[in-house]
Amino acid sequence: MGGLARRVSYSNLFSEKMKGLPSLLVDGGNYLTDERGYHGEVRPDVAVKDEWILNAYEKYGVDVANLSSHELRYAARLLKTGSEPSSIVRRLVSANIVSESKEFSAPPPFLVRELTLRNGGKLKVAIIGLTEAQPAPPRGFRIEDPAKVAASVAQTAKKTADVVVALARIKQSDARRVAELAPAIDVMLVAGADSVAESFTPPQVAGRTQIYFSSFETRMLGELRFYRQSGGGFGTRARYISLDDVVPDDRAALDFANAAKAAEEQTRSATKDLLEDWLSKSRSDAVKTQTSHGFTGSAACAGCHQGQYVKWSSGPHAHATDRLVQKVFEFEVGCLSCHASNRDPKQMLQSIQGIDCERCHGPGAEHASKPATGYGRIVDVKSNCLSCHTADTSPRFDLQSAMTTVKH
Amino acid sequence: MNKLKLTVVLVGLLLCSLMMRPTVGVAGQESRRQFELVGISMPFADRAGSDDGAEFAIHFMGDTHGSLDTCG
Repeated sequence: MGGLARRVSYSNLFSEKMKGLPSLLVDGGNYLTDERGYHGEVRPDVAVKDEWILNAYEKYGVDVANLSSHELRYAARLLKTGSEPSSIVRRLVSANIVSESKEFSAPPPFLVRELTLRNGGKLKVAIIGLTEAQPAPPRGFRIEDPAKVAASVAQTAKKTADVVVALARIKQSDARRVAELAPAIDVMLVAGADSVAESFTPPQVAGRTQIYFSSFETRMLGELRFYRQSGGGFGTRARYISLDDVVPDDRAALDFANAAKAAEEQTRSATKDLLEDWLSKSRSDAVKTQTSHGFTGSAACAGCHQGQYVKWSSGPHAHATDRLVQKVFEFEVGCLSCHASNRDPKQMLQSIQGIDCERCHGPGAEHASKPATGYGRIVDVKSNCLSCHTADTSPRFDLQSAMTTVKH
Repeated sequence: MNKLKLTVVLVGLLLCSLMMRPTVGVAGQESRRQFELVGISMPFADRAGSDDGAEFAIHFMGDTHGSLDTCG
């Protein structure tokens, strides 16, 4: 069911049959992959997948897409201030995602699309974006109550357009509350289906607002036709078109979807290869015994500091690489800055496995050749530890209790 | 058994008629009907329906969960 290729096929059929009828294609939200890496970041393969989806939205004419909390972690990189918004960013809308940082610009609360009607007249449709607050937004954003925001934004939108439509990625059970607080919304299109059991939810009416729910994973494409009424305003007719196997695949769209899948697989494969390549190199004598930049290797420390060496070698720092092996598809070179020890930041793939002695205590070759007191004292323990144990990577990290574990 | 089948059919027809009732539309005007489900054994070429004088249309979707693929 569903899928880009069938949707495009139906859109082509619609355009062919309804010659000249203006139409908009909108998405209510939750269209990107929200799978997170171990530290909550967007995984490399997920980033590629999401990029292809947004490219599909541009190529296949999505006019407006609601930026929901599910998209925000990936989309944040597209919302950085200072750069010219891309074509896809200009299609994003959100009334209740707010930027809390100068680093980001949130999308506009609504967009107005002007349609040229068959009789040559013009008609403006304002499209508002609303989202639930979960999943929690990334740093730099906050999400306000969609119902409260909708009330004021819809009134503003009403002044600029003939019809006000709200795209809302909220729980289906919350839709009525939003509509009741924002009567200026003519139509709410709600994406809030959390399972296949919610493939079809009948429309509702709240006051003067019509509420329509999109089908889970677009098993059915929603179609809302608007008819001008003699007394002013519009009447509507809602149709849900099943995208089952009777609907042929649009060849070009199918090729596009397959290329997206191949790119995602390729990224996973490249990520896995990169990790395996580094693991292999890091086990080689050439890397293990490298002594460039004044380093000498942990084995040299063991000669005098046996007790400390034993404690370190059985502790979490010596085994910091172990977790990378379990997260094959999340691996990026950047992981090595905290899960390995490098001699040269420009040569990260020459890093040694684990956080070794010199990663915290500094290069020790000179000390090893002329042992003396004074070497290795960490001046600023807090900064040293927190450079890796950040709020994002180690949200439960407590410096004092951690020190009791690793102090030697 | 036949009575049961008849009851199911009648209940189905009743539900359909309820679904087809006119409702309040945009700007307080009457909609033609609340909704219709198009497909399930209908030929593809018929699914767009007839050109019935609509002024414009909005196609909407959501919750595709990061997939461009056809599911099933």
